[in-house]
Amino acid sequence: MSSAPYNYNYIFKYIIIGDMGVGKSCLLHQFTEKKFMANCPHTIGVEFGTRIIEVDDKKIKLQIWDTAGQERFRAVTRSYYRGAAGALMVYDITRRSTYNHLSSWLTDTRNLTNPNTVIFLIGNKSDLESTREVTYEEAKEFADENGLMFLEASAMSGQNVEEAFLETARKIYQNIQEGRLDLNASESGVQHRPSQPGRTSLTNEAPNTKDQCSC
Amino acid sequence: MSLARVPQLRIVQRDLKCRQGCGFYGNAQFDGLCSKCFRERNDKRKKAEQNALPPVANSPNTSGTSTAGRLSPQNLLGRVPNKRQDSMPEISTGTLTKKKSLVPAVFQKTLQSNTLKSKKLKQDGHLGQRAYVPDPTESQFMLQLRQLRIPDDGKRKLKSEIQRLDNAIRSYMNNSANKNVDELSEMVQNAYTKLADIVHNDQRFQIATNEDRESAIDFFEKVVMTQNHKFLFSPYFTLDEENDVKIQKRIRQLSWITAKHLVCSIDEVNAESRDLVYNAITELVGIDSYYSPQEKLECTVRCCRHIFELLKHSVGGPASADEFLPALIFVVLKANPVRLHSNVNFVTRFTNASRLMSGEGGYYFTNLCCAISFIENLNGESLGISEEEFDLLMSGDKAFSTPWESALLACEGLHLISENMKRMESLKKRNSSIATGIENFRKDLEEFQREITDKVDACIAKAPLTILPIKTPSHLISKARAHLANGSDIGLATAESVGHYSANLIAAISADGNTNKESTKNTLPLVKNSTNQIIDILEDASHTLALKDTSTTSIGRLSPLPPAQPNIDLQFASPIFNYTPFDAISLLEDHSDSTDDYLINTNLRGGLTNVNYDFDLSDHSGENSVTEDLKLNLEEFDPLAQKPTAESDLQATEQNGSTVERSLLDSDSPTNGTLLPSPLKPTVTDYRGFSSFEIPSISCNTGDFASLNHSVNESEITIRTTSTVIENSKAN
Repeated sequence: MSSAPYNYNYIFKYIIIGDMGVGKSCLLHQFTEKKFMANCPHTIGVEFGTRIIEVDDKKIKLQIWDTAGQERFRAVTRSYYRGAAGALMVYDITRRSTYNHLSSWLTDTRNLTNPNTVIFLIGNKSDLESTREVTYEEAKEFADENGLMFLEASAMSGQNVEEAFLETARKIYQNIQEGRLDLNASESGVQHRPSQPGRTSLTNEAPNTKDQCSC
Repeated sequence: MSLARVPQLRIVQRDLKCRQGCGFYGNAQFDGLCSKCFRERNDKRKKAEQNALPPVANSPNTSGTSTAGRLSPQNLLGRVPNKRQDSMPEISTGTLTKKKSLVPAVFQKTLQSNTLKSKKLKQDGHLGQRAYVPDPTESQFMLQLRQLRIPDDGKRKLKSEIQRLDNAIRSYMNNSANKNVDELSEMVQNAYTKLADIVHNDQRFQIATNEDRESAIDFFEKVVMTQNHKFLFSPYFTLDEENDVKIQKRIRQLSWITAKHLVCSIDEVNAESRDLVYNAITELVGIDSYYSPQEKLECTVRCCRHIFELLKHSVGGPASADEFLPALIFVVLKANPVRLHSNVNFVTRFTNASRLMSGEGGYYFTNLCCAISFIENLNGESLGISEEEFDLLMSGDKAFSTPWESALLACEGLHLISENMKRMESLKKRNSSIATGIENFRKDLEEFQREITDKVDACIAKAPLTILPIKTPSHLISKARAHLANGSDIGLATAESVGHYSANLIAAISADGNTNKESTKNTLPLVKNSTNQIIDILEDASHTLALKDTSTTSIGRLSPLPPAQPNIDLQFASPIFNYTPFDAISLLEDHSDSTDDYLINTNLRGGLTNVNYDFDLSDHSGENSVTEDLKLNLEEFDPLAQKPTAESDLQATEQNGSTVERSLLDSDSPTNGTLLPSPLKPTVTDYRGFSSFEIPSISCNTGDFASLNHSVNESEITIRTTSTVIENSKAN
């Protein structure tokens, strides 16, 4: 009953934020299902998805919370910022207004997450080059000014989607390795899972030695 | 560990702000501080920690009572957590390390020191440097525990029971090789039963009422569940999470379902009912953000109440269960609540079973479970559409549009519009306020202007610029009258004897004494005989002449009366003005003093020169004052003037004498007789003569007088001219 689902060392909690219709759910879907979801209904409140990735030979389970972009649900979605290790801030390169709202999203993120939360800026719909309204350079500059990681991606083609999620995970992992992220802080957004012996010392001590075999 | 504050769906802005008041948003995770303030505080604490540690190492025994004293305010540090650590050391280690950075150095001191607490602390000796700092949740629970209205013994018992279950759960999670969530559930349920038994039967709870007992049980459940939410919610050894993703995906695929498919009476297009649906959705979505099963249930209840209200709107009366379930399904489909399975399972497994068996919460929760199972199992048949269509719609191959979707989109659009309209409104308000401000300012200015003009008008009205005729001092008038009366008599005689000007003078001067008159009435020889007298008179005249001379040199202002007259002339330049009064006055005043004639002339000249600038109105104010001045001058002047004149007496007499003589010679002519009124007439003619012709002649006269002592010829000429004038006037 219980082998595959929890064969991982860490759980990272991500949130995806951004204006309505920038393709948050599609990015998530592309990442978790590796296919583009046409006809994606509007997200109400929050949805979530998971996928296990590998960073430095460590299995990491990404628990990704996809939030509703609509202003009406912001009150609901705000409660999900809490304890996020990574925040993917998405805008639509073909709609300037979504880019203009980034600062308010960033403010929300900065205020509602812990200081070590990795914020990754994604310019989605990079396949729609012909209707581009926000240049790469401009967004890159914004990202640099605010200390964000940045990529342009396309949920449609899948370009850069993996990279964005993986880069974020790498950065978080790096933070853990460098001791910047306190794993035991209740809202670090990272959980250490007792799937492997020796890895467990941070969470639980003696009892876990018995827990070598997860089967 | 879980958070103290269960996130509310509606949070007041103030609550979100940093406690430091820096204006940024705070975070419960950072003790209500914003990230920056939190980091700063942490750094400070770390520093303090580092500073505090060495002295402890040096003198471990000193910290005994003092540290205990310092600890006491933090009750939780001292009392409760220690107990917890006693009972479940291995668990606390996990949680303890989390808060290591926050541990005050003080507490570490107590851990190290072998004082009163050492016994207790020894038991968790393996903790070593690790110390325990309570979660904000725990402190809140401690507060709540203290507020429970049960005996202290009961509280203690309750606490120990909580710790026991806590301990059991954690040890199960850590130890059991083959974990089964059902075992865990059973364990928890058993604990609930046991606690209920204790609460209702134990000696220590006897005083408490039934209500308090229930609240104690509730408290127990809430605390244990919140503390262990992390372990019990969607345990990794269950398939909850997978199911969550599954149903989430399915609901997403079912997004084409409308109220019609469900035979549900919700009006999707109606904005009002849509708002109610949103309220229900918000509650449903919020279930996941609560920790304890009770709170999740309460959330469900609130959601269902919204649905009933919604149905009341749509149906027009109280809704039945037949209407309720489809509506709930619809709401669940539209809400797509996150981790639906996990939440439902968490509540089913770990809430007090009795809670689900009864009450509103139990009913609604059962309905929710039904809705979920319906959603999981629905097919085309259950929606009243063909299987093929259902599959097409599910796969997303068939395009669809639901009123709900469009409403959602429109809703967002409308939301934006309304937001913009709100902004516009506020701008408009500001604009209008500015406009009214401007208007007010304009009004103020106008009013101010009006006020000023009013004030000025009032001032003008209060003190109008009226030009008053000069008041001649009454004593002068009376004097003048007397002179007038006399003068007419005397005039002739003197005029006969002397040149009419000197005669005038003499007449004027002698006006006072009748003796003089009589003497002058006599013929020329008589006059000659009485030259002594005349000389005396002339001396007087010369006195006044001398006086006049000085006065004229000082532009005639010092002279007593005359300046007033020319002024009047100037003022009433037009004959219409005060013509007669002036005339009378001038006539009178001519006689008031023997020198008047002369003075008039001289001053007329002065007056003429003044014409140009004296016309200024401002001078009129000085009218009266001038006369007053003159009076003063008269008084002051006379005594002063007499001294110098006394010296010049001789000269004056000589000169006058000569003139008198010459004039006497001239006055031989019979015209002298007609010269009698001469003292009066010249002024009259003068007056008339203010028309430009006569002025030169007058000025000539005065000029003669000014140079009277030197040139006789001129005086003769003037005499002639005046006499001719008099003749003319007589003829008239």
